[in-house]
Amino acid sequence: MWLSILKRGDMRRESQVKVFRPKSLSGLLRLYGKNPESLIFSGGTRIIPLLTKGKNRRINFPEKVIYLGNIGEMFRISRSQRFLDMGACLPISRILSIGRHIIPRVVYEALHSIGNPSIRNLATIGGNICSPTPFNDSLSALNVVDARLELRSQSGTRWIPAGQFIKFNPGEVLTRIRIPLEEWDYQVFRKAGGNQSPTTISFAGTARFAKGILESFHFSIGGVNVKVFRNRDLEAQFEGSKLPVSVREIEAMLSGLDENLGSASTLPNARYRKETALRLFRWFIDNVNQKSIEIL
Amino acid sequence: MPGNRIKLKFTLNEKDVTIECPPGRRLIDIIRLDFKLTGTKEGCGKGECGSCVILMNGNTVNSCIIPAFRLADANIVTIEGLARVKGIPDIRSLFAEIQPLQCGYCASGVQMVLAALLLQNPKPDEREIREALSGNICFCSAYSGLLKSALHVVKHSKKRRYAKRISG
Ligand SMILES: Cc1cc2nc3c(=O)[nH]c(=O)nc-3n(C[C@H](O)[C@H](O)[C@H](O)COP(=O)(O)OP(=O)(O)OC[C@H]3O[C@@H](n4cnc5c(N)ncnc54)[C@H](O)[C@@H]3O)c2cc1C
Repeated sequence: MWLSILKRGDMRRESQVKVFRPKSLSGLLRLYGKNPESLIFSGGTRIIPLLTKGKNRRINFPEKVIYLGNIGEMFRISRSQRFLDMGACLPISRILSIGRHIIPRVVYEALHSIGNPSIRNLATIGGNICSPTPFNDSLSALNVVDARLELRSQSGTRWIPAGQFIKFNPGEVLTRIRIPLEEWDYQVFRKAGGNQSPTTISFAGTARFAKGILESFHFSIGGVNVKVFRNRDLEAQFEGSKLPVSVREIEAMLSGLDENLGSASTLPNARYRKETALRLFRWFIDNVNQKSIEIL
Repeated sequence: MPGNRIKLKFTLNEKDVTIECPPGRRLIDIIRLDFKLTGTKEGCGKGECGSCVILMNGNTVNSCIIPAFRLADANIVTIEGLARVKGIPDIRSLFAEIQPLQCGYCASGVQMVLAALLLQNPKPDEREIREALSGNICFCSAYSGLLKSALHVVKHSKKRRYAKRISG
């Protein structure tokens, strides 16, 4: 069946959008290098609601759009003994379908908390990482497991920690996410606030026990500021503590966290964000203690 | 690049179709306005309410946030084509047996979600049904009726699938 859709009147109103659909990574980098002003489009679940305007709910794309959905290399998943590598264009539902036993639980739970099943069929992990707070719930979990991000442009490849705020160079895209596969005794993700609520706080934590001691202790908090929070010095203060962690140590940690979160949040409702973050931390450490009693 | 248009081939309710349209035209507009398949409803227009859910390559997606350029070679099924999909029961009539809804605006989205769920998991439990329907807002808040009919669909789906196979 052939259908000619637009009437002449509509045509005049349509924006003059050019959509590029590269089929390879090298093609993408070449194209984006030449047209760095283009909008990168992955799953579109963040972009489209922003660009849909007016009575007719037309999508007001900018002049140039690069669609990543045909680049096979960006949909790959591979696992070695030490790492899980995921292409940036993998839809979140595809990643979840690999299963809880392969993906670190904290990352699984973070990805599972995003939107709803239909959104997760479209939304990609790369798009989530590149979206601003509160549209990047995966970031605290990726940060806590020390995931790294591969950024590529025509001029080369660089790797950055997931917790580092991404400042893309012109023509640069996120291509791959590398998650170290480590064993944890306890890992958890928690979100306070609904999907996409402007004040959502996400909390990710992991802990490992050895001989009655808290051997390793990581936590990361999203939504307290534009950059996801993690402080290794604070974590180190807890590492080596006898389990269960004493009330005194918890109090010291809470005041340390309070100080580190500071009052410097540039996001609105800073006080609420900080209080929620502190409460989530308290909840996490209580659960670490509980878990350690069960295990040890 | 004045008035850019792209030519796309895809499958719509098991028919091969070709269209030419601006690359940013929304799938819901293509379905409802261009193909006059008005069973798919538009609600929020932001991917939040689930009224416009259709199947794209076997997965549920919100058609209001899909631009035309994603359609190349896709397999699209709307509520009008659901009865023709192999492996799923006649969800529409099973739904009608209970008549759970008030205005019915969310019904097509809900039925598409149930269809996708049954394709992937023929025997979902209540938790899985609730999770699958978590992206569908009922504008009348008739959620208990909705769940009741979803459970009815799941319970009777095996029998109906069998009956469909014999009669078909
Ligand atoms: C109903 C609904 C509920 C949602 N709920 C949540 C939620 O609970 N939690 C949450 O975190 N988010 C939520 N979101 C936001 C959104 O769905 C997610 O952030 C999603 O993961 C974005 O991925 P995407 O592929 O759709 O990104 P896109 O919309 O395609 O892109 C998002 C941004 O990232 C850029 N980008 C994408 N890929 C790359 C890349 N590879 N390299 C460089 N830049 C890139 C784009 O240019 C754009 O700026 C929700 C959205 C909707 C509509």
